Amino acid sequence: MKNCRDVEPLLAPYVDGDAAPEDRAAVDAHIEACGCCRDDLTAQRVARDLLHARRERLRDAPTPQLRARCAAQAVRAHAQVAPAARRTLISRQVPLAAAATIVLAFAAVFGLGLNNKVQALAFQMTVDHVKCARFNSSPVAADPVLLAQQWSAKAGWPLTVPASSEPAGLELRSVRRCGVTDGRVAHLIYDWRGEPLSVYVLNSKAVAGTSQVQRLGHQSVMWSQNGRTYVVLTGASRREDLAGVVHYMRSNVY
Amino acid sequence: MVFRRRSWAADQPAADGADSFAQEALSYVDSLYGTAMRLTRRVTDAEDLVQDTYLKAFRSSSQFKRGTNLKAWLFTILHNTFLNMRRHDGRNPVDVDSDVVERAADMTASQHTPEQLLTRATLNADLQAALDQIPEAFRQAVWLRDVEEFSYAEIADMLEVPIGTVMSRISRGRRMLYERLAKTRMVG
Repeated sequence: MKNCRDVEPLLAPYVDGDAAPEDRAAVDAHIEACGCCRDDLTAQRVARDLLHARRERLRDAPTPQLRARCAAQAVRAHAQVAPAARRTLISRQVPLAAAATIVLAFAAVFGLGLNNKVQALAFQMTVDHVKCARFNSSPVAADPVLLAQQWSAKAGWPLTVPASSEPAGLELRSVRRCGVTDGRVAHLIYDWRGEPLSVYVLNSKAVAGTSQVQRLGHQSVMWSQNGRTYVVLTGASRREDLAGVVHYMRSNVY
Repeated sequence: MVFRRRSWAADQPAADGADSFAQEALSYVDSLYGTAMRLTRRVTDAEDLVQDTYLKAFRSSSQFKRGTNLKAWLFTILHNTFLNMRRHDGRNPVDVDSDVVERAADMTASQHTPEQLLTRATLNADLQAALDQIPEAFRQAVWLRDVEEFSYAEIADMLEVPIGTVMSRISRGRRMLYERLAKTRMVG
């Protein structure tokens, strides 16, 4: 018969119901004669059952900021890999029109295999939205005229800030300079029926037509209009309703 | 044995592949952070550990074999990153054979029956505190098995130790946890 030392490692799979039949038989024979190991087995079962029962509540939850920083590592990692190779790829594949210079600020995403400007914009804006929209949003409705004036003074180009709209379910919260583009992109933050919604405004025409993109669990719609490019982006799942928001934005920017 | 396993679809188009990889990898942040907290027991260290893990994972995503277990792969990186962090801190990476282990293993349990322990509604905070008092190697093995539900073989690969060592650490770790809880109840 196995001794206590031999039996000890077998107790864990025994408790889990994973022990091989011969190991199970060996444990059964041993604990029949050994009260110590029998108690040990009971103690292990209690500990295991307790952990199983509480497993979801035992994990400390990461902060939203940490989640955002982890998401940003995807971009950071690829920004640091083979920069020379990536520059070559970009110079061959991306036309360097004025609008595309902004896309170059997001060059890291090409390392992820995203092969055009629309995808690149959607990816980078999603990362920025996760990082910023939840934490830079004012808790109260903001004045669109005041925010537009402040933007013009800071950024040097005029911006139309669509006001809050009850039919569209939008409440304007703040306007900020999008950090990832060195302040060249305006980031309008709204509350959309309880969910953060971002509208990014690029002071150039960067895309043709209207595009819809799904990235990292977020959906975005982007289009260019009157020499500006707009990206409406949210993590909310009400895809069909987003058309209403886009319509509202299209009607209220100029 | 049942444990959750999500495979990264092997037949995705290349353009979406990296994005899917990032998305699935980021879905494990709760598990990675929870484990990092039990390993480091400090919020700042745990956050650094998880961020470093993701940075390494994204940098070396091409080394990940499609169709294999991404969660286990991330946990392996977490473990190695933790060991490196400990080395830089000048602390002993694994205190398996320390006196603490022996004292913990020899500690006698209270007179409460196991059923009493459960029915007395051990608080989650008590359980976390008891876990944190267990020596690292045992705490890690128990956590990976009972909370993250990895298989013995996966844990052995992750920690680069024989499977028998994993089983032994889980056995002893569970017993230590029980004894810690019993002691808390006894003195409380």
